[in-house]
Amino acid sequence: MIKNKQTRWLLSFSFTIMIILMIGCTTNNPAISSNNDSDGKIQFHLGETINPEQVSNFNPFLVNGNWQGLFEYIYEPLFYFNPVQGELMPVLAEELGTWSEDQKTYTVELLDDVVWHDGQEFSAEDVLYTFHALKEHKVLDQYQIWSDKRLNEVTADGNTITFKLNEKFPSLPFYLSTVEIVSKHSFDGEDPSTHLNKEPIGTGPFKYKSVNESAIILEKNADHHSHVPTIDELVVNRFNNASTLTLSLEEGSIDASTGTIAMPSIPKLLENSAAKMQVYPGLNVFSVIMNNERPGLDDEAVRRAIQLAIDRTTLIEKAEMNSVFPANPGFLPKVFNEMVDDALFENDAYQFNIEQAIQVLEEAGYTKNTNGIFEKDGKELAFTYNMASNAPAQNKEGTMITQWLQEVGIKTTVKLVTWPELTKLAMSGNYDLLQNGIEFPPDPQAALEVFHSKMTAPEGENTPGLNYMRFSDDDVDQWLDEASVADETTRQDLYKKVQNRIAEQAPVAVMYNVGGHIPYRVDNFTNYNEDVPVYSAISLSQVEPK
Amino acid sequence: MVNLLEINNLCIDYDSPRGKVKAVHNVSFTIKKGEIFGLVGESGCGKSTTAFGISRLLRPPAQISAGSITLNGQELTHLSEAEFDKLRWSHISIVLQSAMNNLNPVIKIQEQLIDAILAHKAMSAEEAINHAKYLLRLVDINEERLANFPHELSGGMRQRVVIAMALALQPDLIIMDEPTTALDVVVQNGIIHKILELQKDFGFSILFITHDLPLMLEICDRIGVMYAGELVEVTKREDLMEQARHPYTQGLLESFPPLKGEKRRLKGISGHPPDLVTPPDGCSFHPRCPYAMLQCKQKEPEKLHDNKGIIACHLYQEGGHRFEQLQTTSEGTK
Amino acid sequence: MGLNAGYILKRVGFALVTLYVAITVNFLLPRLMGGDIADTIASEMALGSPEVAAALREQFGLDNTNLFYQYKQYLVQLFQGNMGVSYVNYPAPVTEVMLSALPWTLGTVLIATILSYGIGWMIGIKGAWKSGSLFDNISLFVSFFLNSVPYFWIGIIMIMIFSFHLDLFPLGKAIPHDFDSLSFMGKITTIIHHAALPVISMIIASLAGHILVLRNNLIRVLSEDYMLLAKAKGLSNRRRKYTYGARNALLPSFTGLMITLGHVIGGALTMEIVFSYPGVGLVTFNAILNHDFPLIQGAFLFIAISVIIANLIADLMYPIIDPRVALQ
Repeated sequence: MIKNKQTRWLLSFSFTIMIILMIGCTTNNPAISSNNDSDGKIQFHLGETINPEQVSNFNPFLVNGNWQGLFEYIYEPLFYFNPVQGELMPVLAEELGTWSEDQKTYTVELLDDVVWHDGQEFSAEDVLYTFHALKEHKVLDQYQIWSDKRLNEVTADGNTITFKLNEKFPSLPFYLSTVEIVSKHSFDGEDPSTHLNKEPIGTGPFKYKSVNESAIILEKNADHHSHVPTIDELVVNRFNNASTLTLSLEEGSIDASTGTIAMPSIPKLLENSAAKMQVYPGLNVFSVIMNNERPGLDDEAVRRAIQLAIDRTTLIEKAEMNSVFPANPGFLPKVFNEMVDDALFENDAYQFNIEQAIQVLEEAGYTKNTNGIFEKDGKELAFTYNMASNAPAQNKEGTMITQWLQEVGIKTTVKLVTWPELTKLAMSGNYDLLQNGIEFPPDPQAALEVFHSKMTAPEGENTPGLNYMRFSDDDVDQWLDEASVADETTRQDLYKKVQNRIAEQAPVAVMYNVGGHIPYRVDNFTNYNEDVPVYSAISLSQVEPK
Repeated sequence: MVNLLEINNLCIDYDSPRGKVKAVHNVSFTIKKGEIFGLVGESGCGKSTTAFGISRLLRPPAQISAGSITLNGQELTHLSEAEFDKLRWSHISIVLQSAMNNLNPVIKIQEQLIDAILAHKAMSAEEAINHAKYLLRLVDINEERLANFPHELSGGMRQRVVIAMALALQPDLIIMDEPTTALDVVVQNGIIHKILELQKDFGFSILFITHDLPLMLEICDRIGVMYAGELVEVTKREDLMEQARHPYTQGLLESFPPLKGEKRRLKGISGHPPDLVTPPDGCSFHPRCPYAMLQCKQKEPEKLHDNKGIIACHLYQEGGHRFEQLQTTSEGTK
Repeated sequence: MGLNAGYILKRVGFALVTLYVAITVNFLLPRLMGGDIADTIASEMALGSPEVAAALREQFGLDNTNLFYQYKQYLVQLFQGNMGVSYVNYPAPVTEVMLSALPWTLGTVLIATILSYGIGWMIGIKGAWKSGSLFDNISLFVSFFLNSVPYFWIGIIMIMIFSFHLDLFPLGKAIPHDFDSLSFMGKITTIIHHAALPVISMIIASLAGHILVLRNNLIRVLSEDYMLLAKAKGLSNRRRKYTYGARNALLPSFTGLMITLGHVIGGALTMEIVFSYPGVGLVTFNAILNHDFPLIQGAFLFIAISVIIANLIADLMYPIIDPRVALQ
């Protein structure tokens, strides 16, 4: 008996010691391993979460079954939208195109001496094929470039491409940047809406080499027209979760990701002097989306109060580790430069202020009841708050927001749903409050048209656009309609009006703007181009080993 | 007749949370070659424990704490496990109660018969199978049954297989612990007769354990009576039938109805067996004994040997009421 | 003892009926989730354009909303071996998606399951045979500890220690990026090298249950009369331990083993996430999150078939290993 007792104590003790040692060991930083050279080849290791379903096809037309990031290395569009500077850069075009007098024709000159990865010559035929594919297969035309109000026809004459429009469409160049040009001969005979395109042929600085469970391997295109990469191979390492990717970054076995990183690990990563983070604004605005038709939320005062209850600075610092951009109460993100009304960012009327929120409600005739919740005519300000279920950062932010709302005197009941369900609720309008990002193409008009009444539908019907809020303002509609065909200065003016109206009316309560938060290491490679996203094809074709 | 097995002052105890349990205390007896010796007593009196002690089948924490066991003159308690294993089955075998799981349920009868043989004798498979068939014939079981599993046999048949198995290596001693208790009377009768028949043919000794005294009186040559871990009386069958000596034995006899003769009232023995951790002072039986005297409470009775056997009771000590009934023996008390 | 044709036919018939029910439930379940996949994709990728959504719906064969029609299509295609086309992996067929993930799952989860049972049983047998000994105490202690620890903790600790700090094993994944350029032996070695930690972590995490169950079963068996008889016969330690003891103690665990084997095809989600390892678990999980009906159906069907077959084999094998089971 005693012998057994002794053994038991000894075992418990030694086990506890072991556990403590194990946990203690995990706080050290390991040596950085350099695995860039394989057979003397210079390899740059990119890491990204790429699921098995994302390598089903390599067809840039399709939105599913692939990882769109891959195409930015292999293919090229006519123009590239650089989010860091917020402007278009010519790629396959010699320079940005020219508009005709009536603003209904846009002409672009293609580069000479462009060659496909298989050696064949690039020509205007390929551009025509690409755009006609969108016309013939509606399912591929994401942004409806070929609608009645937009493109009428695309023609070519030698190296000149002419875009003829039905009506004025100043945003056309932005939409052209979303179309990767494919080669007619590699798609010949195939249906572009089902072609798997397993051996993609592009014009970009990197050629497709191979894919396996562990990585997608690209090699340098020695015949590239503008910038032949210094590195020999670009290895895109595939991960299926952000934590292991971040560990790899910390360890140094990958040099950068295209934005995926486990948020809570950012501070620790940046303690290492070899690690850096590039942050820039982008095309996704995370907001508390409010159903403007629901009782309570149909009152502008309530929406303003909610807007005032959100401490955007704390969200960005604590929950997103300073890797996102402050959002504009007028919605338009900084990426659109001069179109943005910068004054709104600092305007006191729209900053975090609990007392002011309470004041706004009281002035609008609401009174706090015995539960501490504001009510009017017997109706409490109580809403269901939908958010995505397996998104820890989102949930953390949602919790903070519900607490601030509680302080003001607005009650919320959190309801977790999957991402597809969240979208469904938003589209159909079956929600009170919903936390999600609204993403739009690189076009300021499209960004603000999120608030156009033509983009919405009554509750119960699916919205034809992104106006999940069921927001409707005649002035906003009018300004946006005007701007869709106006010149640049007039647009700027009109957009400012729209942004201010949005800030006042607060159909959404903005949180932050997600663009890029790119972790990258500078110990093995240098000469990243920091005027563009550092992981982009342009940047990676100029990096060189230290 | 030669003494096959000699047990001297065997003590078996085990630790319990309340203290040491004296399951078997100073038990001494002998078994002669070719003799059927019975060990009888209430449940928990230590008869099975004694048997398992002899055959080294005690389950821990029970252990032999003192005493000697000699088989054919060889002291068994000094043997190592490996040495004792050689004796197993070839010199001592056992037959247990006919429980559902007295045979391994997942292997065939043939295999169970044969593995006992092959553990001690080298023979070819064919020889072994033939021997198995022979064993089954001995107990009147069709050799087709070799291919059966235990659950396909009736209780009685299983018990006969077990008996045949016990004979496989023609041991000197077979310990039978309640071999027929779980069977119905008719089957029991058949099995008892078969046992006696085989014993006559092969001449092995049997240590027969049961709580059924009348059965014991039918088949055993000599009988040992155990109470509370002690051997209180050993006597020949004829002598016991005529006159039980120890008050406990008397009580036992009176607890069973006679098949013939005049009807009499069944008398039990009032009270219940003692706690083996703290047994009563003096004679363990005295709280229940109708003849208890003063010294019974104070002193343990010595074991007295005479021509009839052994008796451990103050009544037969010098000064006791039945002292004269002791048959003369010059050896006196031990 | 043997199986008669009647018994076999009956069990097979039962399995087929179960399969049919599984196929039907499999069809209905994802549809209960609701959510229009075409709308979701359109709103994420195409500004919610109803035209794009309509085109997608046609592509996915969802334009005819009649449930019976879809069910009929589903059955017909199923018998042609066509499990449909995955939405999220469009246009890769479901069978292709499943089959590309399957070998990784079988290679790791199957081997880990078998080894875990095997090793667990060995330890349990030894512990029960020498119950109370130092070995028994240690194995019990370790078992109870491991049983209370969640799998991902074990996985992550192993990665931290053996990959991150000691650099003995890779930091996840199934193969290195330069896999294609390796020799045949090189490929085999690196696959094993990458699979080592996932397999070992899975074994460690599931070991405890097997140890404890078998240990307790064997202790129970040791108290049976035939064990006493075996000892009295002087049979070797080995024979008593295995043919008399373990052979009986394993019987209850056999069904458990078969059922677990049936579920192997479902993959091991946590392991796949922690180790960035390709497998059926993550494919299924993502399919559910994305409301990818055909892929969900395909994955669940694979699992259902596998479990039904495993059950069938267990039913057919059980009378052979335990002769007491009647073949009714």
